[in-house]
Amino acid sequence: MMNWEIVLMSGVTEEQANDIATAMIQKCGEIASTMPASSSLSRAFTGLMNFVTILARKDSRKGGVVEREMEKFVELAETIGRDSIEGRLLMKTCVKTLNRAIADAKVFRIKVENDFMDSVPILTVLYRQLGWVKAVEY
Amino acid sequence: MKFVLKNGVTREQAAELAKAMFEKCYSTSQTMAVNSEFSHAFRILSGLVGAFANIEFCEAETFVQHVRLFSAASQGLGRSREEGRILMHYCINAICETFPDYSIFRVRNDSYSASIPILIYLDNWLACEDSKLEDIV
Repeated sequence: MMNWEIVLMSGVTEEQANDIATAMIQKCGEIASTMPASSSLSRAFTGLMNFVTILARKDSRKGGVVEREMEKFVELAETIGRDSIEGRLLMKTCVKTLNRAIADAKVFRIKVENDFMDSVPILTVLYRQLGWVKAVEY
Repeated sequence: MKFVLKNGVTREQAAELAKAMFEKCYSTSQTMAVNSEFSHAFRILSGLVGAFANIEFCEAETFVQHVRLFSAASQGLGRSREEGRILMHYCINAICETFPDYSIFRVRNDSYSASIPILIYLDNWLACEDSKLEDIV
């Protein structure tokens, strides 16, 4: 089985990575706090904030942890909204919103351990993990 | 379909609430990246709720124009009409949770039927797969 690990874009220091993770967490928190906690949007951004917290933890960047966290995240996304598809769609839009708000988010990347494949930004992987929600009318 | 205020609510009170709702929608849209879907959605919603403060909104023609704009803009969000409707549903949900008094802005079919909150009406109407503007005007 392939193990994923979170790596930093080359040239980025731990301090810079921490600052970016903090900015991402603060952005999610700021958006979530502008709405009542009971609203679906606030719950979605709070869930995303919790996920982003793992980026700031150095020990969670090792293989195995990321996959587990992503699985949990997708499960959480399915509980938001009127059904699981809408929940995933809502969370995907939240991920996209965060990606656009914090352009530096792409310094956190996912790489397959012991593999020569290029790394991919973590929010892109997260977006894909939330699944394909049909673009055409369903 | 006619836009009405809840019994006992003055135009001043309604205008004040509409202003607060508009400011909330607009400030929420400003919190996010300007090119994100939610930012667009909240800006569209701010246009609609801001119009509630306008006395002219009670007139049938203006009301229909605003609903037409809102409907077209909502369905232009996301990758499909359906996605746009879903995203707008959650934005409406967030505003309704923020302002429990949202129900003072209502619509009524004719003078004998019961009125319902306009945001709920529009949300339900957007959720219908075969929603047509003719149903609302």
